This record gives sequence, structure tokens and C-alpha cells, in this order.
Amino acid sequence: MEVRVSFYGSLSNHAGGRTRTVRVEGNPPTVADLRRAVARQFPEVAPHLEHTAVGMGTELFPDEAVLRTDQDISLLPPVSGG
Amino acid sequence: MTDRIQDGALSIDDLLRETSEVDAGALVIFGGTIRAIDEGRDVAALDYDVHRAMAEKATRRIEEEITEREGVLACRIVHRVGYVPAGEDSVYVVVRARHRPEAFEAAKDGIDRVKREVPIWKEEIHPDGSRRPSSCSHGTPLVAEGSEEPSEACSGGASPT
Repeated sequence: MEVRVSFYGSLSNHAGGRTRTVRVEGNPPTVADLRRAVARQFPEVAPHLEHTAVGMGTELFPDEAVLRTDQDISLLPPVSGG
Repeated sequence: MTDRIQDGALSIDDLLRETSEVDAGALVIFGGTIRAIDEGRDVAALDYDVHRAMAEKATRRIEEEITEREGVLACRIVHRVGYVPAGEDSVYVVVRARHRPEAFEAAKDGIDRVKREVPIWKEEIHPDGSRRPSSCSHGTPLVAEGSEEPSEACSGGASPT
């Protein structure tokens, strides 16, 4: 399955842009499958994934959650606002 | 009501009007300003990235939870994103409470939670045009509900706090 993923913060530099297409394995694919796929396709992002959260819509989801392709999928590195 | 995430200069006047409470004996405003020098290096600006929908929601939740506290009557938080020149304000936390102890505490907790919970990221811009992202090692990881607690908030960069 191909999904569109938005990379935020410094991850957008590592991924080469804000939004990228990621080919994800799994039936149904989970957040953990997405992490593995991103690590494969974007090696510069891989070292940062351990501390990166995965969002769908406006919620964060753990690794076991099934990907919801009807929602915006985002990768959110550690925050640094203020 | 003023947007919590804004692209232009922030206005404290709007927040004061929106939080007006006749029972409040204390008003505390925290304002964060971009420092022109950080760790001995000149800083021209910070460039803030944001997940706007998630940031709006997270900021609203912080406001609501702080306002539920005993003695706190109103709380508003706004954060500027995009290019913010040194010397300009990037964030305001406004708290009105019956008395000063709860007002000070709420304002401090408000900015601390913004730095831990709101999906905003900054990148330092230097006068020569070079950039320094706020590295992952300095930020606070977001976590899904029920997962491991995050570590301490970011203390690096030219941001105010």
C-alpha cells in the first residue's frame, strides 16, 4: 500500500520535503510497519525514528495501531516550541 | 477569539480583553522573546514549523486544564510560527486568577507544557543565512496516550525560556 506521509521539523529536511509517498507492507499495515518502511526508504530519517511520534489526523498512535489512510499521516520529531 | 497559532506579530491587548474577569485579583503574563545571541552566536531569527491542527488542539487542551484549577479564572496561550526576528515575541501565556500564587504557578506550567506538548519546531537562522535546526536531542518526544512518559523539555536554542 502507498500512503502519503507528512514530515515535520527537521525530518522534512532529512526526507527531502514535507510530504512524501511511502510504500508500506503489512495486512493491514500498522504504525510499526510505517516506521520500518520510512527507515528503508529514507535512510537519513531512520536515526531519528526512535523518538518520533506518528500522528493520524490530530491524534498520536502507538506502534500497534492500524494505519488509517483516510486521515493525514504525520511524523513528528521531538518538539521545541516556546 | 484569537487564534492560538498565528503567523504574524502577537498582540497582548487581544488576550487581555479575552481574559477579562472581574473576580481576578492577579494577572500574570509570560512573554517569550527571541534572543539575539545564543551561546555566543548571533541569531537573526527563529523559523518555527508547526502541525497547525494538532498544535491548536494541544494548546486549547492546556488552556482548558489550567483554567479548571482552583483559583484560576482564565488562561489564553498564543504561539507565533514561521519567521520570527530576534527581539520579537514568539509566545504569550496569559493567566488571570483570584490570587497571585496560583496565577504565577499556572503561567509557569502553561509555558512548560507548551514546550513539551505542542507540535512546534524551531530552527535558528544566523546573520550569514546559515541555519541550525533544534536537534532531536534537545527536544521533547511526543508520545501517544498510554505510552512511556516524555523526557524533559528542550532548553537549547535562542528561544526565550
